[in-house]
Amino acid sequence: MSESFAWTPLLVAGAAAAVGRGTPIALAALGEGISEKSGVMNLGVEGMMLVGALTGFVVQVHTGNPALAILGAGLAAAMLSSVHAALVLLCDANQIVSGFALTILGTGLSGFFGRPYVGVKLIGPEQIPLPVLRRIPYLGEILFQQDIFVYLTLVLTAGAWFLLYRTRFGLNIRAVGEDPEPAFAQGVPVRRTRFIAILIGGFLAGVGGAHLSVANTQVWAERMTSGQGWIAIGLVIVARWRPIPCLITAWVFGAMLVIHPYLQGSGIEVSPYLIGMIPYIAAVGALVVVTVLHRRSGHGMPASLARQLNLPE
Amino acid sequence: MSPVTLFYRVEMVDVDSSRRGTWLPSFAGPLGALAIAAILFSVILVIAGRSPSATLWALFNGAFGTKFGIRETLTRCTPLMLCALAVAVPARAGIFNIGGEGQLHFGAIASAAVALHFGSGLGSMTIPVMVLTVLVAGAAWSLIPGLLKAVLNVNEVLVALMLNYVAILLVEYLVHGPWKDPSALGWPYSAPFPKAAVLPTWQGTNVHLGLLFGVVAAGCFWFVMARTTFGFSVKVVEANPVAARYVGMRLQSYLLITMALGGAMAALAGLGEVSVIQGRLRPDISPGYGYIGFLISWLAGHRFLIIIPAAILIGGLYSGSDELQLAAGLPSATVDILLGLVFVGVLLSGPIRRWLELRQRSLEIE
Amino acid sequence: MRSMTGFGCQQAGMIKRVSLHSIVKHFPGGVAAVDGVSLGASAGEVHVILGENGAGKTTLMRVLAGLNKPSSGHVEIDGRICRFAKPQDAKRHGIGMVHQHFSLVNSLSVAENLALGRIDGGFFLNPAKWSCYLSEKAEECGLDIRPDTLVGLLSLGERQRVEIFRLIVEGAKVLILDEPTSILAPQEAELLFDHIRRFSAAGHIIFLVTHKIHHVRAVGQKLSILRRGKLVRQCAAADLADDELASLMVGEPLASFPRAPKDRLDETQVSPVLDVRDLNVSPLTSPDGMQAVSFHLQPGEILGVAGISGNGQDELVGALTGRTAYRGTIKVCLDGASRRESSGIGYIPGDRRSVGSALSLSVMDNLALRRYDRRPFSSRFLLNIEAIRNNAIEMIGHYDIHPKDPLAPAWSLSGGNLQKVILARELEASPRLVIAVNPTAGLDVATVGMVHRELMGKARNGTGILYVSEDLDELFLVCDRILVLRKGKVEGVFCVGEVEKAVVALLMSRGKLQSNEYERDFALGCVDRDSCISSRNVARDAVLPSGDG
Repeated sequence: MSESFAWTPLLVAGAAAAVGRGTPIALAALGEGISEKSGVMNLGVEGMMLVGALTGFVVQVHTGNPALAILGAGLAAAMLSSVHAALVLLCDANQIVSGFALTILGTGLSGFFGRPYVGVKLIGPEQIPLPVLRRIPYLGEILFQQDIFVYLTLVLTAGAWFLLYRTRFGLNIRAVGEDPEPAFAQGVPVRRTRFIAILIGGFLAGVGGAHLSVANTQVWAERMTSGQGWIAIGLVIVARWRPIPCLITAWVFGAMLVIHPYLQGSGIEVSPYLIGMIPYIAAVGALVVVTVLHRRSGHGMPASLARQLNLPE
Repeated sequence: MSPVTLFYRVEMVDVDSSRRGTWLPSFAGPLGALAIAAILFSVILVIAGRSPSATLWALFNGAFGTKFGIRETLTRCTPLMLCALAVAVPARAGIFNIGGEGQLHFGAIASAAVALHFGSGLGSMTIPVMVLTVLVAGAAWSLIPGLLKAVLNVNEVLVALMLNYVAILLVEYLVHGPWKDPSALGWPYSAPFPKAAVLPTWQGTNVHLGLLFGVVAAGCFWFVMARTTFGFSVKVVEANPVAARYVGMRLQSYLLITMALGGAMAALAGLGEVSVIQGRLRPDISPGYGYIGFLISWLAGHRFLIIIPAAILIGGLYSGSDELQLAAGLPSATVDILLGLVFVGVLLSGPIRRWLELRQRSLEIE
Repeated sequence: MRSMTGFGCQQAGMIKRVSLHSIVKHFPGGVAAVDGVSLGASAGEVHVILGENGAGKTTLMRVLAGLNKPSSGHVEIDGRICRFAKPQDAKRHGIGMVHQHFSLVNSLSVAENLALGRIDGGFFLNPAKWSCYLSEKAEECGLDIRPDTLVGLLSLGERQRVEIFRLIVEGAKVLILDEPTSILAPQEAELLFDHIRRFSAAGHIIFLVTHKIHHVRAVGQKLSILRRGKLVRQCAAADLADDELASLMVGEPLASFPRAPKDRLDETQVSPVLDVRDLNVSPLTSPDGMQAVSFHLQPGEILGVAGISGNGQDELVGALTGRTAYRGTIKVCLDGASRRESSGIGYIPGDRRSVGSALSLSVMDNLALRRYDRRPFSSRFLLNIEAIRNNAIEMIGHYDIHPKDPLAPAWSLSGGNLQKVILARELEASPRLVIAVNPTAGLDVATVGMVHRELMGKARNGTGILYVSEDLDELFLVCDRILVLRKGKVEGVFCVGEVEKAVVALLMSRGKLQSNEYERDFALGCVDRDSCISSRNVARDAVLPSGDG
């Protein structure tokens, strides 16, 4: 075992990598959290991430502008999520089935239209070290020498928190997610609120996907998210539907994904697949713990999540 | 019940068990949904610069038009049917089994364990032992979320979802590690299954015993649900747990039994895939059969006898788009688009169903 | 009690007079819930609107609050005719209503709830500032409100206070309170009356909708009595005595001064079907539960249980059907058959949709629900579908159930037909004891008659029936004896021919009469599930903005 001294730069580098690796999931989880806070479960996150990944990739290849890539990815994914919104809110569709169908659709659409882009290489967004903040010991290197997506994620997380807890619209979202009937009685436009929340969720998932293709791997491949959308849904629950824990858990998950080479470098030989299992098992464990502990006080789940809407209309 | 009534009713089971049933004029709904899907697909084809009519014809032909196509359809529909049954059985008791994918993989692991461990040693007993082991393995994997739900009231959907990934990773771990076949030139494969461990197939095609299992199982489940007191109890549990408790039923046991049966079915699908289709344990044995099985079961209203034609239909979708890939050069992702559109189509026809339902309810005075 | 120097939390601009003119409200199905009612109130007046359940009081007030559009008639405020398209319009005119069932989100705090759906207020939320503002406002008005508590943690009385506070924050000058004390404990009700008096002193107009006579005495100044949608009397509160009020509500004149109730038990020595002694049940939905209740039921007798819901009925029924734990003795004499077996106890629950039937199953399955695992419906483990079907066809014919198809799903049945299904199922096995809870709630006249006929027919054949209902007319029609339940105790047991309806009504709401004093009755339990659900439906309909009620 090396001396603890030599661990530190390794840990820091690992943490920085974890942040980068976990950002797509963080964005997806953030978006899904907002959507679920309003009472709608969107299982189509995986499909939306893929659509965003492709769109972002395409835009980046053709324009080289990460900001445009982000915008394009978000809009494309939001369009897909609007289908989910329409189905659930207007056609009163089963939320689980609708979400699944859109995951499949998103996977298919991105694979179909992405074929010409397989094997194309692009130059991803560069790392932008932030002038003052980067000098903070440890934290500076981990958080403030990242690319624009990561910074965006930090801003968006804070923004999500602010939206939910410091604006009327966020209050509406929370009210509608807990108990739409009294909210409706007080004049809150339930369907409109949920619609916007779903769109926000889709947008963020798309941006997350774009980070994966544009910044993390810098290639496009079919189904490249390999389940990270589903993980994001699980993380929302572990984070108990709050924005900041969403971010932290996503980073922790990112750590699991990047840890293998570091372990190898330190002489610990474990199959990466076994390590890969840890976050999922941990998520199950966390779910059990949270459910049991909060049997009385509730586990933070928006009470009207995925329930049929029964408004007098 | 006459055959007509089988197709007459489609019951939709929703997430929180708020029940809605509906009387549909026999084929209007599904046909309408397919029509919507076909139209949307055509739009996409036009955007991609392809001829809709030619493509749709090739699709249909590839699925049901040729002998090869029909065989492919049947091959594909086997795991779909089993995974759909895996969802339908627990759904009848009001519990959702999204863990089909994981149960499938775990079943594959179990069958590989038997095949690789015993080799040809068990002779003609290999297959029965394998099937039994696989059934138990699938039941066990599905009982994890099942027990957590029954005892601690943990959300079974999320636990099962996470466990799906664990099972898939377990397969990866095994074929990259302990079970890796040294003679496979670095590919992550297990050793091939001995002949004794391969399920019997039909005339040298890939259509295997699993299909028979599926159909027989569907028939058995239908019989139990429709004609036995056990089935009646399950019906009551799903329809109204409060009334069920009043009449003295123990809800947890129905939950667990149906969940175990469901897991066993999905595991059989895994058995089929590795034993016959792949011939060995390897990653990527399933393009999401577990999830698609969920959709098929939902489409069939969780009715066992309707799952059979529904699975054949979706299997046709797969084999048809294989044909599209070969003949028309369309990417393999096309089938996902088709599948997604079919379900979007079904969901879009929701308002029509509800209108019919409302007409029915206008009789109500309350 | 807080000292009140002035009640200055309302700005100037009080409404001088509010009136409703010839309001008629029809509901789909042709029933006129309100039929040509006119009334009005002036500044500072507390106007009590008195009537039994179903008299149309709530519907009338919802018109005023902008939740229902009247079929004809109009509202005038200070002489100007006003038309409300949605509740927000009424709010802008200064009219606010506190419903019987609250419109608060339990997992949010008081402050957050009060911020929901405000007409004014920007995009941003400053929780600290808002809470502060609310605290100050509450101080001004003398209401004890803690803005940062979660609504779910508040007692029912506190929640009601929040609802009233909301009206103040929104600047309401006309307050409509619908059955406000139905969930309050005695002291809380007293507090409420204090607030009402203060509001009225400050110039607000208050409409108090209730069926409790003592409310009139407590705070009422003017009074309107409604019966079956029509206005039967309008006067000052002091003009009428309690018994006159009761008889006007119930609709029959009081023959003479009410006698003290007598217990008349038939002592003929047939052993009772049901013998309850010293039954004690802890509270379920009633604040007092069940306290040392004793009675018995003879075979062939129909014993009515009269009482305002929430006075122990749920507990009683729960104990008798074995769903609730109890202390005391319940003896059911069933000729050797065990409880709940086929020839045992029939139970027609108050809530036909969630407990009484399985809605997604077919009619024939519902009819077999109790005995499907026995002959003739099954043998060993196999169902005998033919037998189930034949039984269903027979029942459908006998009870005239529509639609006639045994395979029709239960959810497609109207309330009346569903009740017939439940009736058929429970009565067919000729049980020795039947417990029926509000069996005719929400049913049309023909079905009500059928239910009565069937039950009375069974009674003639020796079945003992316990008939729990709030509807006095019905009880007097059907029952042989009536037991009055109040606050979990038996107020009295009477033979039907020997007591006045109005006496029973008074006993139900106020307990035994004292000669000169009025006993204040504050023990009012919660509404039971059945009327909760139907009232909640009504409340839901109530918040429909425009269109129809």
